[in-house]
Amino acid sequence: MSPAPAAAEATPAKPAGRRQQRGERTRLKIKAAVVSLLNEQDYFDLTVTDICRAAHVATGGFYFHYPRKDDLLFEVIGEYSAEFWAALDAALHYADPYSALFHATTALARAYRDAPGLVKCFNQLAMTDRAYVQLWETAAAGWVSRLVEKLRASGVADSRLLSAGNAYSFLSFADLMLFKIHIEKDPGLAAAAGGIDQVIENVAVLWHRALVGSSPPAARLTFSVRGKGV
Amino acid sequence: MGAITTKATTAQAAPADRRGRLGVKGERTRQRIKAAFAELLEGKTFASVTIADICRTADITVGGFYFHFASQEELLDEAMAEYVTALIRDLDGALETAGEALAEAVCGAFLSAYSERVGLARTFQQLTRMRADYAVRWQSASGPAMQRLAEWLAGDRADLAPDQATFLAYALVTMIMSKLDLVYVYRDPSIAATAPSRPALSSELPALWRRMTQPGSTP
Repeated sequence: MSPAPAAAEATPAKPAGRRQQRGERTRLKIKAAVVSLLNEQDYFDLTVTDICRAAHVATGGFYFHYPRKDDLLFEVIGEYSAEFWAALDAALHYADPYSALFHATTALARAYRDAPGLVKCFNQLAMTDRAYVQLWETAAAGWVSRLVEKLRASGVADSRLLSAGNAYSFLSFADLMLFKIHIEKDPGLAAAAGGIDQVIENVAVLWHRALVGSSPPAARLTFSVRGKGV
Repeated sequence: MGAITTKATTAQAAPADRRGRLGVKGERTRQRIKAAFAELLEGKTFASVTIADICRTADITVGGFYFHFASQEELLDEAMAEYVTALIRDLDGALETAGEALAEAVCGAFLSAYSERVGLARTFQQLTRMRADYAVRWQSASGPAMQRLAEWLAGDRADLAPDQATFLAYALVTMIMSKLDLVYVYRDPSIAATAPSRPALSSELPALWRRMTQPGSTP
């Protein structure tokens, strides 16, 4: 994770001094603490005191870096989002459509595995706060149009359903499947889903079928061969 | 924003005794309050709708509101319970459909819920994301229908193991809801411009369904 540019603004004068390094360390501690606390606690119930206790930082130290709890969260989510969209962009470098969709699903699953609390919190905030919705929408719209371009260029047999709207809703589909399995833990779905590798493959296969119009080549699949594919 | 995290289903059965002797007029007023609430939710989020808004829209007094509902939370709770009951009833009806047309029927059940009850649908989707108790409410209400859909899929596709039929059933419903969420819940401006109309959705959703349920992988 790259150092946040805001840190430089918050610590005046003496560039690259020891004070600044320590300030940066404090910021990192605070950010790590909130990410781990969110795995156990709802964001709305989380207090600055909780975060400071977990980060071993004085309350004054917290407010020096972040005027409000929301500012901290917006920075953390911004950083995780940047990493997430970079991984999704990297998925588009794969030549064939299935690899691209498989790696995109993997990137989503990794986000849910590494910081489930943060992802849940992001989903909650995106339901009510336009700032968070826009964070997702801007990046998603760009990524989706690159995906559609890529699928068109790869000579998809039947492109009737390959619209930006459908491509966009299947990104949401993959996201919502992982949300139901990892965050909501829907008992009916979780019991049938199998391990994470199986989930990733099955979600990518369905995504491929919907946009490309056919199943991916059998040679690319692990679970359908074993009778666990969709 | 703190208000949305607390108090789930507190005063559920409180006015039961009162409701017993409501009579036809009282029941009509109660329905009018719920209709006003549903209408307001089309333009506002549930957290920003006030009791004053509801009273103005339903043309009743604040006292009249509190005669019927102990709190706005109780009204929300009842409105959501009714929304889910109606959707599951439509879904159960759709699952009675014979043969291939089942895809159209199931997609149609969700499409009616989202397009005809858009304020309630949006609010319910928001609540399931924000409150664990609403997510659980949906899981237990929809569970039996999901199992019936899984059984239908297993009958349609002999190559599916029971678990995979269940996975596919959940995947199909998730596909329908993620598409409808984009059109009716999030209303993303970049999508809204090209958002399909209801007739377009009613043919596009089953087309996606058929693609997703096509058997196996290409050799």
